[in-house]
This record gives sequence, C-alpha cells and structure tokens, in this order.
Amino acid sequence: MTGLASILARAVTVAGQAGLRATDPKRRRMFGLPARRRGPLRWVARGAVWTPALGLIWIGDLAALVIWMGAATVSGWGIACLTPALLDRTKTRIAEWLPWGVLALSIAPRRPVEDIDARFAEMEARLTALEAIAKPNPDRSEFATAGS
Amino acid sequence: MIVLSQERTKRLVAVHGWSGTVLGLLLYAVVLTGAVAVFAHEIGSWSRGGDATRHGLPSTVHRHLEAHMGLVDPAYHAEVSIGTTDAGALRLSFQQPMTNPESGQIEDHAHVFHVDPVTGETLRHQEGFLRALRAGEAGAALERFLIDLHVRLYVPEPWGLFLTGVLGLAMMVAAISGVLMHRHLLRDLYTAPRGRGLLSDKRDRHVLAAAWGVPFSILLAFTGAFFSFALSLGLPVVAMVAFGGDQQALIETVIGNPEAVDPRPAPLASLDYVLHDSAERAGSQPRTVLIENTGTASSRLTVFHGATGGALTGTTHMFHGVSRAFLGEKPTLGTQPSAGSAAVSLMAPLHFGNFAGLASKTTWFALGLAMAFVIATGMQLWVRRRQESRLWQRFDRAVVITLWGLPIALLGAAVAFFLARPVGDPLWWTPVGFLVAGCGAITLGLSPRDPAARYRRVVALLCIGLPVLRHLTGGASWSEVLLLGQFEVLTIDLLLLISGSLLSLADAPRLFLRAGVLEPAE
Repeated sequence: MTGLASILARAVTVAGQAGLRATDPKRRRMFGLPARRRGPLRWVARGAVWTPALGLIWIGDLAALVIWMGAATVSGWGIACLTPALLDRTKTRIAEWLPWGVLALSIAPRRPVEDIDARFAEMEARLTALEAIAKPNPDRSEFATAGS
Repeated sequence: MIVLSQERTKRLVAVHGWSGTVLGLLLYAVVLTGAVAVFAHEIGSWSRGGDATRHGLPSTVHRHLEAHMGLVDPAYHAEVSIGTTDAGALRLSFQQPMTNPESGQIEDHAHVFHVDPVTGETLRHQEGFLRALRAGEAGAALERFLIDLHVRLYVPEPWGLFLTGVLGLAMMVAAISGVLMHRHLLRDLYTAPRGRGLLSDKRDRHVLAAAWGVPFSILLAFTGAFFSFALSLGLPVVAMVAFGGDQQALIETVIGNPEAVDPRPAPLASLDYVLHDSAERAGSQPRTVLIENTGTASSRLTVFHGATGGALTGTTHMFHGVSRAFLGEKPTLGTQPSAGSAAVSLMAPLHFGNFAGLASKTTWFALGLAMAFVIATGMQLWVRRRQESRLWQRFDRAVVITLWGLPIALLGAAVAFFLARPVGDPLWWTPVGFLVAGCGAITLGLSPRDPAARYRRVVALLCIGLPVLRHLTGGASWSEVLLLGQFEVLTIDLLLLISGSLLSLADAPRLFLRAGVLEPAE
C-alpha cells in the first residue's frame, strides 16, 4: 500500500507544483513572462499539492505521508529550479534526439520559433550597423600597429 | 512574513553565516556521508558481491537452537540472540556479561554460530566479545567505515559524537536563523536564479534550496544531534542529576526493571510456535529474537518485527519462555506505552529513512544531497562576498577542495577496500584508502589553476573504474548477480557507470547551455 499510495501522491503533487510554478506571479515577473489573469488554475494547483497529504492521512498510511513530505520537498526544489530558458533548451534537445517528428514537434518550444525571423532581421540590422562603425582604418590596421 | 529590525536582521545574518561557515566544511562532510550512509547496507551488500535475500527467521529455529545449546557452557544461556546473517545463514549468539580486560568495561562475551537454516550444519563458530567480533567482520569494512565517518567523523569516542552533535546543533541554528532572516520565504518558493552569473544568482540558488529543505534540515539536524548526544552526554548527565550517578538505576528505570530470576530448570517453549504467533500479531515476519534466562522457569522471549502496513516503527512482542503466553507489546522506553517512548522510537526512522525500503531511502538520500547543496552554496556565497580578503580567498579554495575532495576520498576508500579484499586486511586499508585519496585531492586542489575540471575527471575515472575493479578482485559478475536476484550489485554498478560517463563528458552541462539562446529576462 505504501508504495502505490506514495507514488500516486507524489505524481499528483508534482503536477500541482508545476502548476504553481507556471502561475507564480513573482516568477513570471522575474523572467519577463506576461502576467496571467487571476483564475482557478492556481487554486487547482494548490489543491493538487495538498490533497494527496490529506488522502494519505485519511487512509492512515503514515509511512507514505512522511515519504510524500520528503519527496515534495525535493520535487518542489527541482521544479522551481527549472527556468523557462532551461526548459526550452531541454525541450529543444529532446526534440532533436527524438526520431519521431510528430512527437518532436509537439514538445518543441514554440516561443523562440515564432519570432525567429524578426530576431534574425534585427540581428542582421545590428550587425550591418556595427560593421559600418568598425570599417577598417588602413592607418590603424593590425599590421601597421604591430610594426610600430 | 517575519518583520525584523535592520539591526536584528544584521545580527541574524552574522549568526547564520558564522554558524554555517565556521563548521561548514565538517558539516558538509557529515551531511554528504549521511546521504551516502542511507544506503550503507546496500553499499555493504554491493561490496560483498551481494547478500542473500532475507525471508525472516526459518521455521526450524527451535531445532537448531537446541542442537547448539549443548555446545556452550550453560552460563552463556543467560542471553541468546537469534537472527540471520547477510549470507542468509541463521545466527545464534549465546552471550553473558563479562569484564573486557582491554576496555575494563562490562561487555557481552559470546559464542556465535552461523548455521545452515536447512541442514542445521554449523558454518562458522566464533568466540569473543561481541563488539570486537562485529568490528572484525572484514566483509562489512566499507559499510562500517561509511557509518563511522558519518556518526563520529572517525574521531575517537566520545569526542566524535560530541563533534557531530555540535554540528547538528550548528545546522539547526543556521536553518532557524535562515527562516527568521528571510522575509518572504513562502513567496520566494518558486523564485529561481536567472542564470546571469551574478552574486544574486548564487544567493537565489542557496535560498531556493534552503527554503524548500528547511523542515527536513531541522528534522535531520535535530534527530542527528539527539543520537550524538543521547548516549555520549545525555545518559551520564541524566544519571548524575536524577540518579546520583548510578547509570544502572537509570537504565532500569528507562528500560524497565529486570524480573527476579527463578533458577529452577524448565524447558524452553516451542520457538517455532512463538514466532508464528508473533508474526500473526504483527503482520510481518520476526527479524530477531532475544531469549533471556534460557532453560529456567523465568525465561522470557522478546521478538522484534520491522515496520509494516504504513507504520514508521516496528513492534516488539514479549512472551513467557516456558508457558509461551503473550505478555504484551514492549515500548521502546519504560514498561508502559508513553508519549516519550513514542517520540524516541520515531527518532531512528526519521533520521535514517529506513522505514519503507528503497522508497524512503531514496527520498532521504535526495534530502541529504539537497542539504549538502545548501551548505556548499552557503559557504560559497559567504566567501564570494568577502573575496577581497586573502584569508577568505584561501578558505574559498578549501571549500572547493572539500566539495570535490570528499567524494574522491569516499571513492578512494572503496578502491582500497576492493584492492585489499583478496590480499590484505580491508578493515585497515579502507580508511587508509580514504586518507590517501583525500591527500591526493588536496594536492590536486593546491595548484593555482581552477581544479574543478581535473576533479571532475578524477571522480569520473573512479566511478567508471570501481565496477571494473570490483569484478577484477573477485566480485560476482552481472550474470551471476542477476541469476541470484542480487539487484543491489547491478544497480550500484550501473549508477556508478552512468555517473562516471556523465561526468567524463566534460561539457555535459553545456548540452543545456547552447550559445544563442537568450534568457527571456535578457
């Protein structure tokens, strides 16, 4: 009983923690993500985090409850450590490794791809501007300064 | 949110930082070895090439016990302990208290028989003081070393226990002061470092891990300090204060007064019946049995069971040794159930995490690693804020050496164990291997260049080399352990190989740090 109850409780809690991470206002501000409207998702996530504990208390499985506490601590830390950039890079890597195109497309990050053309255009414009500023001066070239 | 004045916060920061830094290196050693020691038994089994699967005591205990009782002096019938060995044999220990001429203290002197549970054949017979017999088991050298390092940092008793007890208290002070000085603990639970390489990132990393781990940091530090101080300091102090220094009187009060011995001879009740009865009451197979005053009218049996059915603690049943009447459950402390006894019995499972097999052990291992991470990042943060000072620069190097040197030294101890197993004395060579590898790690860390990359390569090499060395020095092959169902050996071998392979890919972390992908905040 301890094993099954514990695994189920952990899975639900991890899902809840992921929801709380995704909707955490301070975290979204920090990473420049658009603010979310107040909705039921955060309450659902809170419920998912704590309901397993109540369930384990209800069935009287003390060992599973204590394991759940420890596992929730570690999984919460791990989930909070995942920055949006790290998640995107991880998804991209997994998508590159996976041979199945459909699955790869389904998990590949969408945000960087959506504005990729605009970003390229912006970077090229900046590069052209920088090249214009840094035109080689024959009097200050490497060869001229090396000999002086 | 806890609001404190600026002055008080400053003082708390000082308390938090100094309590963590002054003893930080030793604290890191205790916590990391503690995380590894959660799997001490599995590591011991791996080092021995796999243990037999235990199914509790065999149903032929009574017959084997009677056959061996006649082989020892009746004085040794005063106490008989029955259990199983790591190899799956029945272990019968006939013991009586005797003064050890070496220590000058009263210890249990025993005749220990390892018996084939099926045929009843004596596989091994040892005689001596129990403590010396246990310490002399060469096969358990690596397991014992890990536990000794965690429990007392290999410092002689009782000073080692005092030291680890103080470290536990320092950990508690750091954890509690951290909670008090961090104003937005709950609000910052999902505030991750932004990866800009700034000091604030180090702070965020430390705070995030500490915020999540603080309840278990306090719990593990408290229970650890309890175990360190309970026997080394608590028992003598309580005996002095409440019992005029009479430790025997204290023990009798705490454990319960022993019944007066009725020396009239009486046959021992059927052990097999008692074990069956006890198993039905507890819902699990007995792990060990203790028989007191064997063969007399006042004989008593105590049967120990492990935790089952979602409980954190096991149960202990008492039976009359002649009439086989059930005398009741025995609490950990005293003779009647009490809150104090329940609290004390919870200390061990909450500290060792051994109440639900691999599930709880894996969780406790991860918690230990998380605590070690908090200590390491805390020390690094403290040092980086003071890096202008030469003294702190040196301490920074000491931190790096300890962070990498300890895993290297632990792996070195395992290497020495395997090298010494076929040719020498692993009990002596295992700590020597730890010291030699530790000295090597210190030497490597003293060079002016950043040693992290070289440390990583050494750890990778040792991780990959250990399974090979285990096999070359007479350890069981994977096919053998699979056939015998000894999965610890295979699991630890694979974990070492995977860890070593990941570390040997020097830029493994860069898989996730590709250039050109900008942080959203940037």
